[in-house]
Amino acid sequence: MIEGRRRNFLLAVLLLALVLFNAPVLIVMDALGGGGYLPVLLFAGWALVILLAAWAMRGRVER
Amino acid sequence: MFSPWLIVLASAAYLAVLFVIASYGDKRARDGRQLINHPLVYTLSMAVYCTSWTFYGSVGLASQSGVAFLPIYLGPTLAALLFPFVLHKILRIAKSYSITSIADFLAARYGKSTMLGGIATIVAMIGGVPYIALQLKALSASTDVMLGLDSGSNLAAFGIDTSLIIAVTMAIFGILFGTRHIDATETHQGMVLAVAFESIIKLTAFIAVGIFVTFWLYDGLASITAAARAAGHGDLLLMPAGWQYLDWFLMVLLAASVIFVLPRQFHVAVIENVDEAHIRTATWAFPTYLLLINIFVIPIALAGRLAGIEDNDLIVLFLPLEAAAPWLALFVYIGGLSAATAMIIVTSVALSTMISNDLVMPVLLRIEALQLTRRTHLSRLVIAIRRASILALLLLAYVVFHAIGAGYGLVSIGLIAFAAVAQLVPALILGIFWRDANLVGAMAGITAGIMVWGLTLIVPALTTTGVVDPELLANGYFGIELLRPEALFGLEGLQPVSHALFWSITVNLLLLVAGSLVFQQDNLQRLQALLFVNVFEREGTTRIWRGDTKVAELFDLLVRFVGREPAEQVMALDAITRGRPLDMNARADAEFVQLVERHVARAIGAASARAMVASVVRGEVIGPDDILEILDETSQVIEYSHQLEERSRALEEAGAELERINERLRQLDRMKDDFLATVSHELRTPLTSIRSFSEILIDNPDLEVEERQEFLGILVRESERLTRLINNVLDLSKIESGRMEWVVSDVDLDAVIDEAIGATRGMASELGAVVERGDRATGPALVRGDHDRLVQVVVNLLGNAFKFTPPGEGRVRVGIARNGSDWLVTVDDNGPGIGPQHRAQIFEKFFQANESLKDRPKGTGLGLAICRQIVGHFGGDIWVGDGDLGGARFAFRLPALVEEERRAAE
Repeated sequence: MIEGRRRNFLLAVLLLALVLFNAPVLIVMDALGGGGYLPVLLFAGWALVILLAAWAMRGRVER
Repeated sequence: MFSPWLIVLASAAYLAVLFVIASYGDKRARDGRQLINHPLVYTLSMAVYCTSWTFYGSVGLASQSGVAFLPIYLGPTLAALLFPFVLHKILRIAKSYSITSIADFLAARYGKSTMLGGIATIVAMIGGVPYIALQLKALSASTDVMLGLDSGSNLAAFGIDTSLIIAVTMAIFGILFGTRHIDATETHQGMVLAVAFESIIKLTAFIAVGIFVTFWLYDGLASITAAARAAGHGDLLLMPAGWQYLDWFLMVLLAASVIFVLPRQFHVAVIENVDEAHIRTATWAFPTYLLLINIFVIPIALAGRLAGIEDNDLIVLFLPLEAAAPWLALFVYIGGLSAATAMIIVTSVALSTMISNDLVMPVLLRIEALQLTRRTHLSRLVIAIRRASILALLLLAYVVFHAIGAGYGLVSIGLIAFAAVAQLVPALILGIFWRDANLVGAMAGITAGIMVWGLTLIVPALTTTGVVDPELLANGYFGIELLRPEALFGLEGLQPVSHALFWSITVNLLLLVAGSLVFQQDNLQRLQALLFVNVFEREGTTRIWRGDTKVAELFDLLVRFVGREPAEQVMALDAITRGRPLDMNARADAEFVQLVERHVARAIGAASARAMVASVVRGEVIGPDDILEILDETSQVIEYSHQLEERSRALEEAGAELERINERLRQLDRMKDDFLATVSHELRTPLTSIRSFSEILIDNPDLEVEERQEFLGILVRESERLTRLINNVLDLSKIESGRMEWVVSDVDLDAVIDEAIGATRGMASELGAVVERGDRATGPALVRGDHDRLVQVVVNLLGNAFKFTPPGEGRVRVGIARNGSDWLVTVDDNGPGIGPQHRAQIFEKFFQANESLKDRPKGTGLGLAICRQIVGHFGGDIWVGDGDLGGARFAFRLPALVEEERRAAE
């Protein structure tokens, strides 16, 4: 399905997502700019994770 | 408000469209055109994850707790990143072993256990039925709003409960498109196509209302948030009050794990998948869908709060209604309808397969009185059971919906259902990666997990209805404070769902692991574990039954469960793969037994199928322990042959290396022979002339004095040439063999050049050549080397140059220049030059570039070879190119002694 560097890259994206969507970073997001930007930041991080995942899966499928 | 007729008409029209799409998909599938064989259709069908919980409930929750709705979508995003690892493996296993549902998967993994299949089915139902009820609740509430009735009245204008109508319609849809054929592993292409279409509708509807609210009612995102802050709703943009970060983490985990076990997700992602490669697209496209459908949730929720709408779960619908945009409201209503119907249809089909395969059939087959095993046309019975289950499920959900009433929000019902289904996750995930996970552990884990779930989540919920004494919450079970249902063992401050999830999954996992470590697997379990965990390595190794039954008996079994026509098709396909039809009276071989069991499994699940096949071929099949033995033997043989292969590869490599060395030795030997032959030849020429002239002198003692002088001159010249040749050969062989004694010191190349020019002055004037000094070094040109040998190099180059310049007009220029960290010495001449084809070979021994120059003194053919050896010995190299004087340029470079030069300059 997915091999070598791509595989590792995707796992790295998963780790990034785990960090982005959880506590220490979440607290920072909540407090950033005096508060009130949490939804925007979460959606931005989410979009970033999706873009990286799409990048990892790019290219044609080998059958 | 809308006329009831319009709502009914619109809903009916929408459902009619669904029916048309589903029929079209089925028809095309029958024609052999798979409309669903596209990664985006696969992804859209996965979006069945977004139900009315998402469509109405997200905004409802967000209007109270801000971003609290998000973990439910961030979790699946994380899970999607694991699709290529986890889902891919599940998918391969399910396809390899004809799995029909999540319960069937677990049953098959843990030794084809009917017990575990039943337990998993019950857990799936405990989670599934309230979840369907949630959809009915959303549908009936939204219908009431559209009709302008009080929410919760549940009565349409016709005096019939709208949710009942909906439930029955959905049941019909599921029966028509979900139970068309007996083979539960076969794809329901029409249904999947309809579900994908519904995903588009709900997404468009939600985004439409989002754009309407954000850019029509308000001037964009900034204007809504500003208004919300001004009105004191800024808290919705922060982490929800009363939420811990641990809550958040547990919710993300919950949503991430249920993606693999929710009956409807398992059904669309695994059972209905037509191409493994679609997973690649789903990995990013599914999270993208989730992001898109959630992007307007916060703005809509803020607008709802600002508008003061009381019924949170219906803000999506109220906003366009109150803004006098009835057609948009109708579109939103249809969007909600699509979100609910997709979920109901897929869940009911998935659950009905489980109920018939893992709950009803195993029981029926065991009741001897029914003599089911001897009945024909069991396939009709199976389909009838599935259809009845769909109807029963929806009616059950309808009852639950009325029992729950208005007390619970959409999201809380959904989360409770999630936590129930999550109990299947440990057994599934450990089951595909850990060979030792066993049946005892799985059953204990799931059972205890669901009990803890009930005690920590359901019992506390019942306190609000009065069924359970509310005192329990404060006093704990049996009056023990540590056993308070919502703060078990003092774990306080968490949301009820995360609290329940933590304890239930912890207990579940612990029991699964402990049970697996303490108890032994029986052989069938070991076999199934082996096949599941190593699915990618062990393809095709299941054909190991050694049946001793007649083909006809097995064929009868097949006919009873799948019907005569499909059974004959199976036989026909088998004949094609074998290349000949099977004789009905012949003994069934391993492959045929396997084939029949697989097809029966498609109808009634793995566990029951095994029992049925065993009943026909009882006592004659080779048992699982033998199979394991064979597998072990096979793996030993495989292992042994791997080792052999490796060894022979190593031998091959060593052989190749020896071959290379041998070839090199042979080449050197050949070179030595060539060298000896050439040297002898070169020695013979001067010797011959010395001998013949000496003989002339002896035979003719009275020769004229001049003649005698001339002959003696030739003798001297040829002797000198001979001496030179022998010296050169000796030099070269010394250098090449490493026996040369070098006198190494710091040498000034400028002085070397002057010395060489001095030494060759006689030769130059003899041949009428002029030597010029070109560029000079500004300071000392120091290199590390043997002074005499370096002089020899320059002398050789000069001698060569003189020989090839035109007689009497020869010009030779010697220059030295700094080139980076090297000194570069060049010798240019105005001779004919060296053609590019000879430049590489000219430094070889005995190579003569200009054979045509017969009138020239012949060299030994070793001078340049010696030069190359000397320069090379001191870390430089030598080459030939085109010179400035129209002839050749010989150049060599040697590394400069930078430090010593600087010191000498000071």
